[in-house]
This record gives sequence, C-alpha cells and structure tokens, in this order.
Amino acid sequence: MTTLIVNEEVMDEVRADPLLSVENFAVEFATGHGWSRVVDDVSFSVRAGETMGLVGESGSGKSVTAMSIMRLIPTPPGRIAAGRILFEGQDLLALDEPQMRKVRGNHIAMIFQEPLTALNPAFTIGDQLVEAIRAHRKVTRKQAGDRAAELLDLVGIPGARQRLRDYPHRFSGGMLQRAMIAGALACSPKLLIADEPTTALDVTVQAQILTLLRGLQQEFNMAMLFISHDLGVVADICDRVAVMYAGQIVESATVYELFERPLHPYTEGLLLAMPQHGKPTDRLVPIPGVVPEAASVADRCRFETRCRYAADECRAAPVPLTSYGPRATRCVRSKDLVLGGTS
Amino acid sequence: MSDETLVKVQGLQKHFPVRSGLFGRVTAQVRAVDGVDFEIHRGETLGLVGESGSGKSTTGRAVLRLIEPSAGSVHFDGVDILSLDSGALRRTRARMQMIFQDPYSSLDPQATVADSVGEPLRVHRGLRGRARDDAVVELLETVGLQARHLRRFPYEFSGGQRQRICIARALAPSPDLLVCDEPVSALDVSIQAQVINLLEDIQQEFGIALLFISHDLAVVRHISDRIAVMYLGRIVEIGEAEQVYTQPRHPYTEALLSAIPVPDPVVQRRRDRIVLDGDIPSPLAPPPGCRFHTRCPYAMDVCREVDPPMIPMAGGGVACHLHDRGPRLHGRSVLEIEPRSRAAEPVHANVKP
Repeated sequence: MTTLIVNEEVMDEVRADPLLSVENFAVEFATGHGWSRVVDDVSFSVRAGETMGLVGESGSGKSVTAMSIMRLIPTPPGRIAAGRILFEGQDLLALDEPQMRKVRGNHIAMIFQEPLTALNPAFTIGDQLVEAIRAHRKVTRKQAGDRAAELLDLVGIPGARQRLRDYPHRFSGGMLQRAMIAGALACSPKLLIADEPTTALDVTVQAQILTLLRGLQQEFNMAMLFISHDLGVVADICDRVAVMYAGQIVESATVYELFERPLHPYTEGLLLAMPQHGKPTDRLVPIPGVVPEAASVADRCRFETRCRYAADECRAAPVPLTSYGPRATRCVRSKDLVLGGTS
Repeated sequence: MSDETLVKVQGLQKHFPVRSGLFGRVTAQVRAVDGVDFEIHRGETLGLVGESGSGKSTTGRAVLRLIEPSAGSVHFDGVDILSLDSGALRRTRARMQMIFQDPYSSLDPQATVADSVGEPLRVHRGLRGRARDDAVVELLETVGLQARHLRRFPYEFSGGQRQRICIARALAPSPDLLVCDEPVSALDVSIQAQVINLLEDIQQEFGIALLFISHDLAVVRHISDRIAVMYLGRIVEIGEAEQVYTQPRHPYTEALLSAIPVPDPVVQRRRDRIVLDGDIPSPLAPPPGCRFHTRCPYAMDVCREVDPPMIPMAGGGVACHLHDRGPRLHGRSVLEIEPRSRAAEPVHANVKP
C-alpha cells in the first residue's frame, strides 16, 4: 500500500518547520475602477527538499503568487494587500530592495516559461552565468567562468566550456532551459521557483527537463515550488499540490491523495476534463462556463457558478479553506460529497 | 465516415529557401515537408501529430494551398487543387476551411461577430443584410453562442468563445473538410474539453472530415479515427488511432507516448520511460538514412545509411527498418522489443523471426 507509506512520510514532514511559508497572502492590481484582488487569502508552505506544486488555469493567480515571493510584482500597478511570506522564519515582505537582492538568485532562484526572453540576446551564455555567480559570490572572473562551465556540464550540455561562448540564439529551447537552470543553481539556492518551466517545450524535451530537475533536486536537496497548468506534469514531479482557482487555493493535499480522491469539485472537474480520463471513445466532460470576475462572486464560493454540486449553502457566504489533517479544501459540501479521482 | 477518399496527398514537399548575403542568394533549403503521402476519407478525422519543426502545420496549409507546395500533388474530391486557377481555387476553398491555434489573432478586432462570421456567407453564398444575420445566428447557435452576441467585438469574448466564433466562421460555407491547426492548444483544460466536444458534434451533424493537427497525442487519440505521426518533415507512422496509441510500430511514436505524462501519480511514477537524447535535428540538413536514427534507441547500421520506405500495414504503414531488415517486426508493435539502452541482449533476441 504505497499511499499509506506516503501518508506517514508526509506526517513526519508536517511536523518539520517549513522552508517557505506563505500566510493569508493577497495581491491587488489597480484597474480603471479601483483595486482588483487577483490573489486572495493564499496560504501554503514548502518544506526543505520537497516539491510543492501550484496548479491552476490561466488567471488563477499562480504566477502572481510565485512572482510575489521573489518580490517581482511591479508596484504600482500592483500592491501586496495582506499576508506574510516567511522564508526561513524571515518575512520577505519586510525586506528593503538591497536586502531582497541578497535573497533573490542566492537563496531563492527562479526559472521561467520562456527561457529565450529571460536571457539577454546580446550577451553570451557564459557572460550571463558569470554575472549571476559574481552577483552573490566574491570570486574572480576566471573562477566564475570555471564554475559556469561546471554548471553547464551539470545540467547536461555537451561541450560545456565551448558553449559558454555561444549567444542564446545558438541554443535550442531545451538547451536554453538547461542554461537557465544552470544559472538558477549558480548559488546553490534552497528554493527553486519553476514557473511553467516545460510549457514551451516539446514533450520529448519536457521529459528530459523533468528528469534533470528531479535529479538535481535530489543531489542538492533543494526545495521546488513548481507552477504548472498540466496535471500530467504535476503527477510526475510534485510531492504535494495546491490547486488554485480565481485567485484562491481551493484544495491542497499530497499528490497521491489529490489525484486519488479530490475533495474540491474544481479539482475533480480538471481531472474529468483530461482526454486521458475514461475510455478514449467516451465524451469529454468539460467544466461548463468560464472563470467569473472575482468581484462578482466575492460573497460566495467562487466556483459555485460552474459547479455541478452547487447548493444554496454555497451561495450564502465566502468559503474558508478548511483543514482535514494534512489536507485542506475550500468547499462547504466536502463532508457529504464523494468525488471521483483516478482510482 | 465512409471509405470514399476526400483528400489525397502524394509526395508533398515544401522547401523554404534560406537567403543570405548582400544579394539574397539562396544558400540552403529548409525541408519543412519532405515527401508526405496520406488520404483523408469523407467524414473521418485524421490526426496529424508531431513536435515543433516536424512540418505538421506546413502540411495542413499546403493541403488548402495556403502555401504553394514545392512538389507533389493534392487532390480534393478528385480535383488536383494545385492545377486550379485563382477563381476555381476560391470556389473550391468554400469546401475546405481552417481554424487556427490562436483565436485572438485570427479574428479582426474591429469586426463584429456578425461581420466576421457573415463574410464567408456574403462571398460564397451571396447573403446580405437580414438574410445574412439570420444565417449567422443559426451558425452561432450551432457552436453554442447566442443571437445576442451578434453585434459584439472579439475583445468581449474569452478564448474558448473566440474559438467558437472561428468555428462558426469556418462552418459558414458548409465545408467538407476542416483543417484544425492546434485548435485547443491555447485553451485551458476545462475549456479545451468544451471545444473538442463541439468539434465532435459538428462532425457528427454535418459529416465534415477533419485534419486535426496537434502536438498533444492524448487529445489527438481522443478525437481521431486515424493518426499520422510526423518527424522532421516525414510521416513515420500512420494507422488506426487505437493501434498507434496502444501498439505503436515506430520507435519515435513509442518515445512520444512515453514522454506524455499521465495525470495519475501512481501510474506515472511506475511507467517505463524512454527519454530521448538531444533535440530534433535541423530541417536544413536532415540526417542521412532514417531521420530518427540520431535519437533512436534501436538504431542499427542500416538506419544510418538507408532511408526507410513507408511499409504498408493493416490500417496504415510505418517507415522503419525494424519491420523489414532488423528484427522483422512485420507490423507488430515496437513495444515487443527492448531498446538497446535497457536490454543487455542484442535487439534480435526477443523477437521471433
């Protein structure tokens, strides 16, 4: 019984102090008519060495959450409206910009969906890696260059030393993402935030990058916050998962529990909508409608307008995230609903 | 679906010249599509799968003659569309329509839904004014939108709704063939399922044949009757959807299937995985012999020298030496043999001659 063993492991980790802890976090953006809350009451934690998945569809707030941890949200138009982000016990939101720079790229690193736009086309891969290393470490150019070659080799780029002299356009998409990962690893971060790192890649290359990330994580005991819209990728790489919908976390659980028996109807809806669900000849089961404006559903369950199980109680008040042991869900009917997962 | 051939593509090639230097001399050719043959039957869905650079979109466009093929022929309902003059081509195009990946850039932002969907009705059926609007409303209702959307602009719709508008526009001239180029790739999973169901409904109702181009094998398996897998400008395998998905005959198809993560952690973490080395080689200089040999876990000497022909099989075909010169799979699934990286024994050991 794999699931039981995993549960025990998870309970051990629950007792350990988290590396990153996001508490009741909210982000707002200025719009033509006041502030619009795009991330609301988000709480989750990432423990040392684990991979936490943040999954959701476009506009769910997962990328804004990730960018906020790095304090990369432009303010204005954005503003952090509430909450704390504790990294090793220290509130990142209380740091000034020079202090934050010491964290960014050093203790917490980030990789993005589009590696080509994240690199400067006018500098060689080597220049950019050396710059990343020298930003945080007092080493000579020569030493940084050696380290850069070591890093490229580590992420599986053949002929690393020669490739340092190449410009980004000479690299394929998969190679660029490898180079980005090399840069992120430059200062041995404790946490790597990966924002859709394989979304722009072909599936065979995606498989390579996932294998690489998994290996590096074990080697360096690095925690990962893995942001994705792809439930297959999440099933492959994450230990725990938080599902986001319309700016809120609607469910969090271990990856096995989440897929086997979801507690929130939105999670169930995502699983049912996958073409892999059921027999290939079965009709797909979409989630009806579209994501509503957050403001229009602020007084109720945000998923209520699309939920097949919606009842009067769902429309009565906003729904808080309720914990059940290591799991949590934002559904008032979670006790009387038995939802379908992969089992 | 019937066995009547609607589209017959033979020896299709599309080479794009690479120009460089002061006078823009042609210095190389990108062989985007390099000898592709297939047929689409009336009312069936043929899935065309491949990774970026495989030539699947170029193939889709060449079928509609949106680009001029460098060589080969495309017959639509018995007529060679490459021989048609512009007037005849325009009349034929009414029967073959296309929808694209990005519903944001494929609608005129300044045109109302009535104008966008109504344009083909005016051009091909001469409808105007009230008659046109009535026909547009009927089409909108077919794709799950309503009459109240008639005077709205694209920015007022979500991605899924815009794709519905594009589908309505494509249906306007009552086509026999709809080429769908990654129609759901830009959409979220929950919306993707809505659009796929819509395409299936339309096909049922109007008997339209679909050429469904996608990189997502799970989606393609769901919607297709047959699947063609492309790699570096060639079809490497073609067959019934279920056979291609569960009993692949080509090592690339096997690797592609293995690379798609299954949305179930228990299954996904127990699967045998084939992680291919490297990237797709450049279509500027495809490898000699079999184009896949540089990444193939089963590659033999012959693969480096001889370009494998398409070997006809029940329900399709495969272009791979494992079926004629190597372990002689004779059309059986490539899953029956162990790749060299996994097996200590030579490839032949597991297979009966």
